[in-house]
Amino acid sequence: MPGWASGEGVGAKDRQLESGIPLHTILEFETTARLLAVLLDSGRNVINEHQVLSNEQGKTEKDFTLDLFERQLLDVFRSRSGTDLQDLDAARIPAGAKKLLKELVFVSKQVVADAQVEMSRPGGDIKEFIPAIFGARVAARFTERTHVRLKQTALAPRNPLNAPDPVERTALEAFADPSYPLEKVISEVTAKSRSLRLMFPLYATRKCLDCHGDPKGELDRTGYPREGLKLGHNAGAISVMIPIRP
Amino acid sequence: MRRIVLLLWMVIVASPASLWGAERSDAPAGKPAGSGVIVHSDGYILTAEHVIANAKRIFVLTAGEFRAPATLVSTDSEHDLALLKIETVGLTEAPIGYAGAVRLDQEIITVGFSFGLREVSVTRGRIAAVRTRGVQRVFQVDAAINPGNSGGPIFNGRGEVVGVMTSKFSHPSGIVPEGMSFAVPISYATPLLANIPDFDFTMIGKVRKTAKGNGGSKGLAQEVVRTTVLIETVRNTDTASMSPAPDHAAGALPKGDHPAVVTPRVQPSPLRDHASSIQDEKAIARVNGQLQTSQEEELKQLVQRGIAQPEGMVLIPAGEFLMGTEDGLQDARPLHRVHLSSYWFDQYEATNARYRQCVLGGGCTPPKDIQTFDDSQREHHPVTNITWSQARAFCQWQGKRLPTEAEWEFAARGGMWLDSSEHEE
Repeated sequence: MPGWASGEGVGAKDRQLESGIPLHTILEFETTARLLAVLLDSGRNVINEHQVLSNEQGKTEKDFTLDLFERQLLDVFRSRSGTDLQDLDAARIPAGAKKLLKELVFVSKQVVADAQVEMSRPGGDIKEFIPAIFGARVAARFTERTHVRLKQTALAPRNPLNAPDPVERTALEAFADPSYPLEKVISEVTAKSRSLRLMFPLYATRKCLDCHGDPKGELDRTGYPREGLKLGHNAGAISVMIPIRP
Repeated sequence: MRRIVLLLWMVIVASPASLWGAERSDAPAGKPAGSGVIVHSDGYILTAEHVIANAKRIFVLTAGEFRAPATLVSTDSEHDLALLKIETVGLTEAPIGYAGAVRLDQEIITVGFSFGLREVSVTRGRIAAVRTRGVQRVFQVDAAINPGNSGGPIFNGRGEVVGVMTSKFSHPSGIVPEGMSFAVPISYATPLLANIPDFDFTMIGKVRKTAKGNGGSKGLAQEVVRTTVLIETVRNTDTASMSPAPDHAAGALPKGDHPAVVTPRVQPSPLRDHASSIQDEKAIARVNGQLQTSQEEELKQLVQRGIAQPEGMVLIPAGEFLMGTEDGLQDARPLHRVHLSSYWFDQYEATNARYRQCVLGGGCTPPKDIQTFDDSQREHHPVTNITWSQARAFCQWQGKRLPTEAEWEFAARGGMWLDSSEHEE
């Protein structure tokens, strides 16, 4: 242990590095990132549900009002996260998260409102406004408006813009393992990166399988080859990146 | 009936050799081994769960190279943590730090027994990352860690334990970069530490203000080494050996065991075997003789140091005994060797009258069954129907404490330790 007897004290080095981010702050960022991912996925769930209804009961975009969307979005989010966005002051979540979640609700509504305008035009169809489209639009708009980057990604995405970077790829490979615990995130903050990266796993619903299920390789109605996904299996992830300034 | 057994613990200052008895050996390298850290002076040791997983026997080797068998108090396999206990008191404990204050890029110190060798290694590193994956969250440490460091502590600059080295976490890339390792933040050990009676959680992160400059660094290094222990295990490699041998307690111990673990060739103890053969009586007489001699010797030494025998208490001399059974309830298995330092033990059980004094003095609350307690005919009967907390309060009122399970069992066995011929090496 030669270093120990030398004049360089550990305490001295600590003082130089007091700018490092403490674990409790990192955990707050992680909570924020996870909640954002849950909210984005909650929006996807609501869109998914409406698609099922529109197919089965012939409901149209007229039944899907913006108010209904918001109410359902907040309900789904509350049941999944335990956080009531209608009573944000009382919510025991980081202050930074409250601001960002509010923004994400706003953006989600905006995307739905825009889609409704599109769908009300002649030839517009609610069926084309699928969760992936909703998610991609919300993510892009949210990223523009905040310092936080949201992205949907998968190992073999249909949209090349959603291709994973190395950090995302390793997490997706872990999610693909059927023994990986459900809905548990993978995150990292490294001393070099100065940002929090979080990956939130998504799972295939019955609706997803219309286009992404079996038979694998056969073209779906949009002309893409089906991925052969199975119900409940991992179907990509939401990637969140929050820059951290010490 | 709930017995109240009281005793006063006293430090028997002696060379560490007498504290740890005769179990000393040179462990062959390559045995399943890891590291751990002393988190309470009463012999509580925190380590990684995988270090002691499937262990049939666990041994702890402290900085003084003295070896003691350990029992498993609690485990948390999700976070790869385990709490062990060795039967001793007065160990140097490591202060516990606040994991939440650990900063990215902060300098830390890892201490452990690399490759299970008996030489402790101290490595400086930094917190390179914080990673979450599934149910696990870890500090990524850029310090070269070797097998055997697992379960060892990482310290912050103030010499507080802020994490426990784990090898269960896998790097996202599948390959741990050279010179990288992972540690479980100490905050995850909270549920395990709650198993330690009187563990003071308010002291977390408050033990030291700062380790000052140059001199502090050296002192710190010595301290972190002193609180880190080597953990050796004997594994259940052969599943067949797991089933207890039917007729002989010692038969369950694997042959060719660790050199330090001498297969106890003990006959069933006189307390467990009620057949009153002449042989047993002889054995009892022999043991009593030994006990008396040893008691007298220790008392003489104590008197020389000005320590008087507390009234109504007897000295239980230091010694080793075989605790538990091979064929009893699950929490009593297996039969294992336990070393105890000497201690004072109340000769008689606590009476209703004595307990009443505590109640009247405001130190205790009355027993649940007040009728028996108030019966003047039973004044000198043992007090009954009191809870563990009440028993503890009563002991504290007298300036004493409750015995540990091992202390009670050892005393109940008449303070009979293993025959010296049985732990010759």
